Amino acid sequence: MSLEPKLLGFLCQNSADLCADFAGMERKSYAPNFFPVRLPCLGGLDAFFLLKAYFSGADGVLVLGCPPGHCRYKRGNETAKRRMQVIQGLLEILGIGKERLDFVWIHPSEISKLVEVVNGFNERITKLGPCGFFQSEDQAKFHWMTELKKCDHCYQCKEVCPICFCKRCYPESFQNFGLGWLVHVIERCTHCGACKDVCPQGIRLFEIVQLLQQKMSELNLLPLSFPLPQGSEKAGIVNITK
Amino acid sequence: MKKIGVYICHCGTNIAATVDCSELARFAGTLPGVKVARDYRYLCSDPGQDLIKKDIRELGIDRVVVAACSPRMHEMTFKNLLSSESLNPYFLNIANIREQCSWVHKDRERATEKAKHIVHAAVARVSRHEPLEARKVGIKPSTLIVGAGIAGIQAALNIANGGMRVVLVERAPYIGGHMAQLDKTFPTLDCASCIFTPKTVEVARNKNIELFICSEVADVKGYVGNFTVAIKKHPTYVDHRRCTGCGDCVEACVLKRGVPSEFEEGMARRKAIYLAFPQAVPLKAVVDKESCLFLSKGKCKKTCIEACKAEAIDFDQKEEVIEKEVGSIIVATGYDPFDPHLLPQYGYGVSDNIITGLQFERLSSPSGPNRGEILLKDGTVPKAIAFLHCIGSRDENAKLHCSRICCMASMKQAHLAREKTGAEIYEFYIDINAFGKGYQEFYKRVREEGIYFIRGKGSEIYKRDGRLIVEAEDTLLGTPVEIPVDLVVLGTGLTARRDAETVAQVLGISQSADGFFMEAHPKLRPVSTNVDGIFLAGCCQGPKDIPDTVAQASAAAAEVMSLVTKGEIEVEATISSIDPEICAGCKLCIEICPYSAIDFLDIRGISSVNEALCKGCGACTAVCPSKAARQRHFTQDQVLAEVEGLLAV
Repeated sequence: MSLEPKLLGFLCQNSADLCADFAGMERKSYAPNFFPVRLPCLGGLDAFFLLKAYFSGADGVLVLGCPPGHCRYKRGNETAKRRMQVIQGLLEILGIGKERLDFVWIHPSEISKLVEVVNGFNERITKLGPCGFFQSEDQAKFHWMTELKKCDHCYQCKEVCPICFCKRCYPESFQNFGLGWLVHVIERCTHCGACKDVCPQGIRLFEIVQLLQQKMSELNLLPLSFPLPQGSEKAGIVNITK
Repeated sequence: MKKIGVYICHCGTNIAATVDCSELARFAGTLPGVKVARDYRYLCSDPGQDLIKKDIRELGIDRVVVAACSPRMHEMTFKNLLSSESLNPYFLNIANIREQCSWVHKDRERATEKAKHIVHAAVARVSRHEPLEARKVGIKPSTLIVGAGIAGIQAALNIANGGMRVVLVERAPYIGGHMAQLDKTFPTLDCASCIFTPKTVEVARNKNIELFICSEVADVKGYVGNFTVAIKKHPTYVDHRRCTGCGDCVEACVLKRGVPSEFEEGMARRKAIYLAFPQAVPLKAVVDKESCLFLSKGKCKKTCIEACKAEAIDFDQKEEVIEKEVGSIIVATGYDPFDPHLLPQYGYGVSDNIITGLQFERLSSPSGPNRGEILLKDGTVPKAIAFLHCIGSRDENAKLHCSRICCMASMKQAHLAREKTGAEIYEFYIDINAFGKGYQEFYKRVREEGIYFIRGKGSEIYKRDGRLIVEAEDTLLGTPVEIPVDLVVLGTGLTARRDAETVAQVLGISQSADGFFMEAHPKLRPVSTNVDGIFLAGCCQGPKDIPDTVAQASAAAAEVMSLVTKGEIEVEATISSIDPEICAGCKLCIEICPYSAIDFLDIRGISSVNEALCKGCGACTAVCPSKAARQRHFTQDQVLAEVEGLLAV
């Protein structure tokens, strides 16, 4: 039992979750170690939900949404897909590996596809073995994670970052501030380098950011479609998206 | 401290067979915050609900987890229960341990294990639920019906006779759809137009029905009770307020050969300006832009204008877009017949004497091109006719579904052909699906008329010695047969409309695997869709015969009437809000919102959600850097608690 991976699913309630109900009605069996979470739309699938999943011991996360053109909320599926690709880049750098996150279009009627996808994903993750992301002290594999764990919450990085303008800092409430902050800014990072030498613990934040940007460029995700915030008071914003 | 009550439903043996419910209840009892955990045979039954009510009253339970079937089934039942006990209905969480657990896993131990995780997550989540108020919205009393076939007509008449306004939109220049093309109907053999024309005439006469022909629905905005629809009215180049339907213009049209008539399924030809058929409602001439010499080539003497005494023809007509406000929508867009060109072994198009079922209807109809005489292309009477069932249906290489009407339609056509020509008739069938009232009796009657039934699907049709040879395997005799005939009628199946996907996207509804529109529940909500306020009627939902179509259309009308009569409806409270204290005014949410439901308040420098426009997709919450945007009932801590609970050891 314990050798079996834990798989978490985020299911769009208008497609994949409905499909999972149909699979039930047709008694189509799939891996019992797959735990579904129902969301109104994957457009609302927060990057933090995914991080939380890995933190809580998920070995793989499967995101199942409606095919392009079928989103009940116009483009939530496309938004989610883009976000998943960014997270895949992050997983790759963190040593988790992008294979542990998959994004598949499932139409409500595609019952056998759902079964195939879940079982296939289960097989893939079983082969990869346990994720061991948060628990493991494996420095070689989770190099950056070890690095980020050094964070002692001085928030210097946050202070210097030109795109940090929130009144309340959400990542502060997250388990690992460094990682939370990274996820938080990555989609909007301007590559200014302000955070380069600021960390008293010597966490090479800028290096991770650069690596991630490189990964995203490899995945053809740049320029980002998300706009830079307007009205940011801090100076020095270089808009790389334009 | 919250007092959570967890209730595990056995659902008879549906859940209890694979999930150890008492063990699950014992486990649930150990979870933090859980005051009581019980299991019961049927929680949705009255005694089951009383059990929960009693605990709420006596133990002061203020959060309820029901581990049972999908929330699609009974979420409302239990929400109402909580309301009746003066608890906020959003203090309920349904843990789906049937569709997504007991029904899909066979191993009892594994299924119980998974159910524990699901219940754990549900308990963790429900303790973070917030009280929410359902919003009430008014229902606009008029209804849009898309498609004016028999389904659309029936629904329109039901609603209009109830005193409500109907906007009826039809793409063709006439109403009636496929039923208008039929000769006689099975099993009673009454003529389609005799039973149908009174209905079409009534539509035209009814003051509550506003009819748009040659029109399509281009866009739908809004939500249940408050849809704004854009109707695109294609130019007909004839002013229908003036046109008397006399047909003088048709006579005058100089297009000599004409073009194949759509209504006659290509069995006859029509002019560029035409009346679809003599009994058409409305009986108004329309100009076909493609074939009209003036409109396509720019040169014509425009004899039609001279001929029209009513001065109705207007070549300057332009496309119009009309906006209408409606409260509900019925989709009745019908079907497309299967295109037999896709199965070349049946030789459709190779010989003029291989025709489709609908073409036979026109051939046999007294108002058709041969005035009801069944003749071959050369004008002779056929001596042998073959009817092939399941063309494009129940076929791995075409459509897998049974089209339901073709067996009966083929047998009816066989009866008519036998009666009119005395020819030898062969029916090639796989199975006879005579499922309706009086259908089996009709099958028996046709058998007794001396029609040959060959159990075996036709495999190939080819020409030999001036006749058509139908090849098949007679599976009862176990031998291949070759039967020479003069006329072959292909019992073409019913398929989803070619543009069904576009329609589904405009309306935001789903399609099944076969392309037909998907109902909200295959058994219990067969006319509803996954979009509140949008209903289905007729063959757009799946193949149906006329009685079923009419019944479903009336059912859809009843759904609409119950909405309209109530006047208002509660809609989900699970929309987004932005905390003004946290919002930093970055506007990312404004950029991502698919409904432009977020406004920027310049004075305060923050964003704010327009509750009337928000549909609760949550896109803003995921993109909000400081999580000032939160979606009610799907907040960060609620979902994170659920994730944690699911993965807890």
